[in-house]
Amino acid sequence: MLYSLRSVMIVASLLAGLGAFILFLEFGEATGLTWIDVFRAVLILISTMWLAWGAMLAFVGMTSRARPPEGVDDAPIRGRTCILMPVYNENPRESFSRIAAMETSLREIGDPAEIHFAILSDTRDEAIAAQERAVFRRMVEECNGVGRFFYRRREKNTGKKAGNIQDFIMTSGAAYDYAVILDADSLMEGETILTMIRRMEAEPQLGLLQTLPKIIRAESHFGRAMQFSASFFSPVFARGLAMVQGRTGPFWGHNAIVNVRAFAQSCGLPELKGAPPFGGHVMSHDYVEAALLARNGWIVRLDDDLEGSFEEGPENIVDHAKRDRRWCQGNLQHLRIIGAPGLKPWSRFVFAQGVMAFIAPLFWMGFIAASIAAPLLVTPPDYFPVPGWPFPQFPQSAASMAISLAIGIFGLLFLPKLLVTARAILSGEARRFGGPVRVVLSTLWELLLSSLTAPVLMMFTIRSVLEVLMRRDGGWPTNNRGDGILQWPEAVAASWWIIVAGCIGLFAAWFLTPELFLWLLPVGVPMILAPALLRWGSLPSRGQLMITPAEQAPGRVIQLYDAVLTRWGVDAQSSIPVVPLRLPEKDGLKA
Amino acid sequence: MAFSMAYGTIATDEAIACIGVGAGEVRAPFHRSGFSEEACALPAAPLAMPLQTIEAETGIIHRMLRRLRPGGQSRTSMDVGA
Repeated sequence: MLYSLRSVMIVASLLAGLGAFILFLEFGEATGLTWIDVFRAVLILISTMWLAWGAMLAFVGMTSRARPPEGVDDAPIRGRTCILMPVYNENPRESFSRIAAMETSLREIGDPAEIHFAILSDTRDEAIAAQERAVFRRMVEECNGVGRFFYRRREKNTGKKAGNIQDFIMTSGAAYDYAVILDADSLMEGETILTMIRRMEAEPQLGLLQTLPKIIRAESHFGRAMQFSASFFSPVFARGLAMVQGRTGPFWGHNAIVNVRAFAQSCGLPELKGAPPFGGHVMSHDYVEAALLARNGWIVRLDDDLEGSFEEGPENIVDHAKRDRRWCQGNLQHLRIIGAPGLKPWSRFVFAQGVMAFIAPLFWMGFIAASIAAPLLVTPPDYFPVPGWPFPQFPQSAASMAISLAIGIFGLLFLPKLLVTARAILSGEARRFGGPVRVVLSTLWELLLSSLTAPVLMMFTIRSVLEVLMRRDGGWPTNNRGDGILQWPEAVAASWWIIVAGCIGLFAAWFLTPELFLWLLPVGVPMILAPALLRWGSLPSRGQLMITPAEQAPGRVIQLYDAVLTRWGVDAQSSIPVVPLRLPEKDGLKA
Repeated sequence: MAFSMAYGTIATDEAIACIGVGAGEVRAPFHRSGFSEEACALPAAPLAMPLQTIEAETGIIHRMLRRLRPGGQSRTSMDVGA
């Protein structure tokens, strides 16, 4: 069944790509086929296949339903679990208040698992580290958490996040059966955590269980669009992904639970030979860890039916692009790992998908550039092929084929989202998102926004890929979490080169291929307006669209988080100084 | 223990400490008294994590990269010194 599904999806994507390829060749043939037409047709083939693959995931997701394991929801819990929160120069009040909220959420339902919490600090900034210790002490005292709450700061952040987790396992792993791995911005309902543990215990071969985290607390135009998309569209794509990946599922690095012994046995990551960006520590370690667990016979599963799993997202396009830069380097680094011995074929396919996610924009840009430059690269058609014959022979119009191709490609882009919307209205799911009217308007607004931001994001991705290929290491920057409002100078500084590229592209099209000029405006104009898009996207959104269930009716853990944050935020002004609290000599934490 | 069934599926590796032992059987210093640095330090219960082989020594990409490098395999086939 699984292999049939995968085969059908791959064949359907190939057929869609081939259809576009043939259509484009016929379009080119109308004016005389040249090598540049064949080149562009190949680029269209690859790009369409990639789009079709995404659309196939949505179609599979829409036509299947998650089947939660039966009879495990109230089973007694026997194993011991620790919740791990790796932090790296984060705001400790925000990060630790999530831990406090999750602890309270668990306590409210009895916490039958007696779960422990470990904050694994890789913070390099001494002032932030001092704050971490002070906030941690306060949290432990408020939660009466001695013996259940742990804090450790590494002297060196070897191996970054993967090394941080590895250090925990090598220090304390034998004390636990399961570890819930979080990010500093992760938040999970206590009930969800218990369900994850029960599902691990019900399936002894389960090495890793991944949930689908929903974005919460977004406030900007860009952030709320991402939040709506993650809450409304992503579950369908995730369902498709869960179906097609089966027992070789994904790991996204957080909001997941692992079998500690399986993880220890399988996921010790060495440094790759050579220097970054392709050598050094494994950056996108999560994909690799999932593949290694599967290699050792463990099941890696995405349970997309689990609610109550949250994270926060970037509030502006620049922060999104910075995060993408890190992911880009990590995914391209997988080219070194894709041939590792013993990996499941599907794990290799997942690595290839991860690479493709970042290089796909290069194919689109290559197609556009080749289309603009075509007159310079090939001889123009001869309208007087017969010597002495006074009447020109105009090429057969291929406009209808070109339009068919464009409709097909836009269909692959937009149709899945429109179908998800129709399905939500028919199933009543739309009520959770503000009702059918709001859902339709939100979808149209999201499509418009994603169309406007796509060329800008495409340029950032292309730059990231080129930087990695030029062997420039992007490092390990801290994620910006905060209001994220971009000022005009910041927006211009981040995107002036996109304006230049957009102007050059449109000018070149105007002079070289004026017939393409109008077609290129949807790409060129957003590029020229990039600073305005960056600035506007980062501003607070006060609209009534893009409503999510977590906004309409926040879950218990979100309410608890808000309460802790408010309490600590107010208190923080007076009682949590940047300089750490001076603690008693005998049993206090040293500053 | 929770993992007694799972152990049968783990490839035995001497480097993995505590294999076959559930977490509850490991003595870890979980303090329950007042707040202190020691009480909040991670429990000492080490578990080995052997490094995995994740790079292909003989994969296509590796071979191609090696051939492209100066002094790589392609050199030998072009050696006309003799």
